[in-house]
Amino acid sequence: MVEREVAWRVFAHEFIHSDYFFHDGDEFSPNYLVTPTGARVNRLYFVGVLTEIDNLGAGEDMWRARVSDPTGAFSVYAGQYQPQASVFLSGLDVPCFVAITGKARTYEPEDGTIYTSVRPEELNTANDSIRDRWIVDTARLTYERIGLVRSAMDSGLKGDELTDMLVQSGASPKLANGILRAVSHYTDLDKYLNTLSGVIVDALKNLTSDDQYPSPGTGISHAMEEVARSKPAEDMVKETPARYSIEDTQPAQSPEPAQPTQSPQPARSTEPAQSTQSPHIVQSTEPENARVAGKEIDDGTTDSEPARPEEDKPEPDEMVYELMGIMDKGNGVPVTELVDESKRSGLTDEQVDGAVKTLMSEGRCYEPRIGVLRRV
Amino acid sequence: MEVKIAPHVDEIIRALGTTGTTVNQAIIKEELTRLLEFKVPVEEAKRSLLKKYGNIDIPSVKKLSELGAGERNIEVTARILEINTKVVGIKEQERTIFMGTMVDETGARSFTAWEDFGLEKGDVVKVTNAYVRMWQGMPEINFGARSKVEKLDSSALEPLLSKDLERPVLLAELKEGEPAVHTVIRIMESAQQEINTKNGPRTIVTGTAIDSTAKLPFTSWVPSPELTAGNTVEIKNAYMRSWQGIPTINMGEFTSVSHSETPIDDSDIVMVMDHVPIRLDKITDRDGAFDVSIEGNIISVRPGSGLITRCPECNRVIQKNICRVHGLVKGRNDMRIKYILDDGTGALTVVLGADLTQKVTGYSIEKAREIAGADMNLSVVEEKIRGKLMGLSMRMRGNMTKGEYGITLVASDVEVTEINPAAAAADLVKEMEGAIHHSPGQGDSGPW
Repeated sequence: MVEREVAWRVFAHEFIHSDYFFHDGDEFSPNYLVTPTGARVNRLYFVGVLTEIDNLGAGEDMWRARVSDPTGAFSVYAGQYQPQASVFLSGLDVPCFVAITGKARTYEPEDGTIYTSVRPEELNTANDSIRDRWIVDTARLTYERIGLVRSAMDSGLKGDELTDMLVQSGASPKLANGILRAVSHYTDLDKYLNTLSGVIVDALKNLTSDDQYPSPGTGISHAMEEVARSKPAEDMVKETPARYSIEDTQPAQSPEPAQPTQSPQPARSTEPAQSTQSPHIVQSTEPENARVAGKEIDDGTTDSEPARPEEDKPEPDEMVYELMGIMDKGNGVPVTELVDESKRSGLTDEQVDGAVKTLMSEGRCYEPRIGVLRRV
Repeated sequence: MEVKIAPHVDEIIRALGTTGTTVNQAIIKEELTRLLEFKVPVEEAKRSLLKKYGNIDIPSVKKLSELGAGERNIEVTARILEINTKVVGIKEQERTIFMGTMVDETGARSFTAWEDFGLEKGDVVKVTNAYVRMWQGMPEINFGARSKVEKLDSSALEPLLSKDLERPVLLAELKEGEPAVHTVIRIMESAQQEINTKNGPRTIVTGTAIDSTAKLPFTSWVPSPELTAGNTVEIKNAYMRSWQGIPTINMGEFTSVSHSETPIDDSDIVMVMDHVPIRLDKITDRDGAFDVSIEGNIISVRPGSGLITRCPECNRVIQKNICRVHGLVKGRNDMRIKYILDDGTGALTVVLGADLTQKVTGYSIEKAREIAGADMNLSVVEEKIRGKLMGLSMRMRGNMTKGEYGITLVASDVEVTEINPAAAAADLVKEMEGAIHHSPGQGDSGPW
């Protein structure tokens, strides 16, 4: 009897920051991606918003999808050996909630960078209630792993002694093994764990501020109706003469929290497509590389603190949301124009940026093309 | 690689000398070299030469936990934990044999001595030329007339008395086939039962036991007044046997059942009674589980779910009305769902019968037949069910077994679980912010 691989729960933020792939034994033994919190991921399960779907097929049938959670986005590739997944993906309208079980894959171009993606095994449409539950469950499990990694780092123990300690603390032997690997592989782990904790807290806080947000149990169709019902409030738009250029601010093209790139993570420092200047030109022609587009964009100036919804004043989110609706002539709204317009309404760059992120992570807006936003 | 053979040759000569055999050293050296040239392992080569010239079988020294079925000529050193006599009929003759349990630092094993070696409880013995037979599904050490039993100084071998055996174990820790089980249980329910055995009808007691970690079924082959619902009893020298894939506590004639001084209260067993779900990594560690509650996401609905056809004779799932035992039959429709439940820490297959299938999908068998249409397209039903269930959070109860096809739980009840994500998220945020030493956003402007 071969034991089935567990479907780990990891956030996209952690998944895309994983670059340690290993496999033990012969060619038939499974591959594992070890994440910074020690998850030994062969299989994973996640629920998020499908924001992009492209047929890459030049001759062969290959679908690429991006599925966003509140912390980032998973790249999903379905090819000829996943005919059901391909059929399923090709029949979906973006955006929608999807639940995916799949295998962790990596792509390693010659420069030593590692990109992670998912090869789907089973997919289904989901709803906000399933998605919210996934966020809570994943946050809980990730938080537990963070605690275990921290205790491993603080313990000063090594090898079997460390494994014993972790198992005593409630880790499964597999997780304990993953944590040992993570601790010895990842540099600056402490910093990353802090960042990840912050990202998780933000994701959870988004769930707790549920104004205007469909209550659990309602399906996606209901959510969409609600969005459709909300009327644009034109009186919110005020004239502000502020001048705005895209280079000055974070375009917020990705629901990921800001990641300053002045001192990029060592393993990623050579990532060719990572631009700190003009995210709009970040576009790769390589299918496997295409996932880089739109990811990890930064102006390199703003504080790295991820945007938080301001519970007292939800107006910026709503203003941006309304503007997005008003300005959309059918093809979405270019980010630059949206930012300009929002600033005329009295918002700051940071507020616009935060609002867009919040809206994205709540699944209320998405990015049909790079640099263009659209309401759900 | 050159093996230095001189020491091995000396060793062989010495060993042969103890039996009074003298063999020319040159011959031994030549034959040993030859065997090694054939890449025979050194130990195997030595064994074969000893057998050839001195008719000596070197016993292999084993620890109790290493013993496997069919091993012979082994040597074990262990302490007699329990020994009882039993009269058996062998070839129409009455004979007294000795059965019991022995322990070393690696574990406990039951044994049978076919001769009277004068063994007593507590003795530490070295048994040479013993063999292993499977008995009730577990390896058992056997020794008889051709074995050698040497009593060792028992006080010098204190570690052999495994301290763990003194301590009662919790039900969740019990493994299949374990002998010498010491545990404290509360009897949830029990009933006397008449069964037919080879030796005529017999009264046994069956029931369910509970402690703070699990519920398990038990069978006592000897009626005991203590085994009454509500009692807390301490059980020594019971043994575990699997019954329909579930570890079951067995109490036989050598098992002691006594009233426990510290009763198990309702508050001790509240987690088990309330069906608080157990994390899957903890439950899949066990050999089997009885009436457990688990929770997780349905991450895959397996083929063969939905509307199925069974043979009216034997209940086997059949296709095209052909049963592989009963041939062409008029199949009977049934429904089931097989899905993978996964909570991020472990995974297992869950099977729902027709009633529970209807409970979670809303489809009766009639409705499923309607969906399948006139041409009985079963995959349509399966797809519909997959679309309804994949991704849902579910809680269920049932018996878990391990087998050839992996870990399976046959559900006795199932429900979709709903939580309030906002409240759960708020709780977790509170917990995390209480614990985070460095607040996020400060000092993390690093590479990540």
